[in-house]
Amino acid sequence: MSGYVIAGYVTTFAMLGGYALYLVGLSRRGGSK
Amino acid sequence: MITSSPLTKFLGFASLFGLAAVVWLGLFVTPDDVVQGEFVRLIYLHPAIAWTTYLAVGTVAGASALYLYPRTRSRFWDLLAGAAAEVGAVFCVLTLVTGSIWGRPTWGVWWTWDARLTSSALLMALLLGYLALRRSAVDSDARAKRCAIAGLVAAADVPVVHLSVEWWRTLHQDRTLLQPDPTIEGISLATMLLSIAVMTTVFAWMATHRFRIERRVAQSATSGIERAIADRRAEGVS
Repeated sequence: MSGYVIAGYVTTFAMLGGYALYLVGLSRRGGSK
Repeated sequence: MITSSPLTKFLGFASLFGLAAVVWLGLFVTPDDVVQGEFVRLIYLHPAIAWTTYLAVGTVAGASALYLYPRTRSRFWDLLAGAAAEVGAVFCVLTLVTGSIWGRPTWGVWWTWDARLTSSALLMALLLGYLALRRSAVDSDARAKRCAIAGLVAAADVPVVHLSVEWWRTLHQDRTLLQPDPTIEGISLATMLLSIAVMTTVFAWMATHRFRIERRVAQSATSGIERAIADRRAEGVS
């Protein structure tokens, strides 16, 4: 499989997963302040 | 701080299973395209992500309009617009990145100042400006009003992004689905539609959590001020 296809899928899931983890961390810490 | 509920748990599990199904179908089940070859597999992500960006900015616009209208003005709409804008910025970055990764092997360039790409980059800049405005240190009502106006300005770019492939001669291909004779069918069409539904679910999950976090922050700030006022009044009495 092409590296471009793999890069597209990896980037998408890394970014969505990273933001989801950020939300979880924010939720546990008590907000953005 | 608890921001989960049965609804968000359902959305979270649906997102996980849905994303797994999109990967399985997109990478291992659907056939290569006669024109694009295996790079068509990126099309199962990119348009769905772009659609979700539109949905997020549409949510920002709707909530902003309801905040600006005096009869429906409520902190709820301001917080909802802020949550949707942040999640929308994530999806907008992903739209640009996945489009660029698809563009390199298909067009031969990572980036070109095509009308669709340029208007999408402008949308990204408008969303970042909106998020910067939300962090400005002014009175919360004034900030909410300015953000609502900025949200409507950002939303005005969405029709430009969507119709840019018709208004100008662009390198970007025409619309894939929203046309009388779609250029995609069968399992490929089903995978693309599933991806759109899944990305919409991911947006709903993320925006709901983001909204609840900000609402709790706003509530704790308000209760902190009320407690401080009560303390000062108590000092005056004694």
